[in-house]
Amino acid sequence: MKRFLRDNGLSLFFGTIFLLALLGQAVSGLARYNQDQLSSGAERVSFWAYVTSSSFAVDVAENWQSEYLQFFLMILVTVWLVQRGSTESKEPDEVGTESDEQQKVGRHADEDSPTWARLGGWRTAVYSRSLATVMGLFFLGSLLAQSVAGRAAYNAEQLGQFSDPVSWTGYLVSADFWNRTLQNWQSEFLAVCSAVLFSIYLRQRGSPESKPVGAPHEATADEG
Amino acid sequence: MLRALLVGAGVLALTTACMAAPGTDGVTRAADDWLAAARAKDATALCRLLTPAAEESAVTGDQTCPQAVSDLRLPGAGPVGEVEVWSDRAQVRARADTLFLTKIDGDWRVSAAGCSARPGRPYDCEVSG
Repeated sequence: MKRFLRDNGLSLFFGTIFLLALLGQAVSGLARYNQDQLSSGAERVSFWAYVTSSSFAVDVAENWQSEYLQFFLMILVTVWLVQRGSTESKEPDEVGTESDEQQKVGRHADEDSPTWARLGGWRTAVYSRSLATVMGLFFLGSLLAQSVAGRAAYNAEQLGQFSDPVSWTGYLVSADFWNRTLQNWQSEFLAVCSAVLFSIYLRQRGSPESKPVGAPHEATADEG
Repeated sequence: MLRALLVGAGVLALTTACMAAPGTDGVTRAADDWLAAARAKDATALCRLLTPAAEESAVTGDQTCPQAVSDLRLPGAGPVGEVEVWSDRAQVRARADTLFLTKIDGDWRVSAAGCSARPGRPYDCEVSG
């Protein structure tokens, strides 16, 4: 048990604070939602009614989609683009998808390589892109959920203000959809850009996200 | 971790799917009652169907709700046409009126009636609240 906790501490830590933050969002969101309900002449809702509402779903989904977009882009773009001196980048002369030997696939695979990396053909092709593919699918799924839930929440607001509801395609070109989307995207892109640039000059002793404290600023992909 | 995320995504997808199509029976019934009361010029019944906020906005000075509602131009021509329900709000189109309804204590009540569309702006309603 102790060994399990030590070996999985990182995912357990983030999984736990994710659930706590989601619960906190639900509690604070319910308080705000009920304030809005009372001020617009509607009635308060229960915790369960709120966490299964379009209002809560769109608030969750809009953040999820931007996080998955951030990781999808970071995983894919760093295949071809580099930042000299950054721990988020590989060496400038390694740009591209690299050779089978470097990637240990097909006949270059090790004995303990994943099966689909050893097999070659379509399975190795699929497995070679699985990380970006899954991140991309989670991004698209969350974006779809945001658009469906966002339309429902927006239409409830519209009706509360004695205005017509909109279609799903109408919602996709609405200011509400793009304001929710872009306010999340800009913060994700800023965070990635900061991580890429700050890791050139700044250090965190012991973190794999940082170079060793004494490593030169010019050293790229030198994590430790 | 991936499994937890997949479960989370599934819950989110189910949640969004479940809330897409709430029932319209209660809304249609309330709108039918409203239109019938408007046709019969039954101000007491109309007041009973209004939300508290709409009733409050209709009344001025020492008027009672039925007195205030009697002065309003509320078309009763039916039948109920297109119905849209989103969360605890609904819109009903009838031949000569557009109604807005709010769900209160499990019942649908009229929050706006006698409404005319205005391009790019909220409806202009005889009573709303």
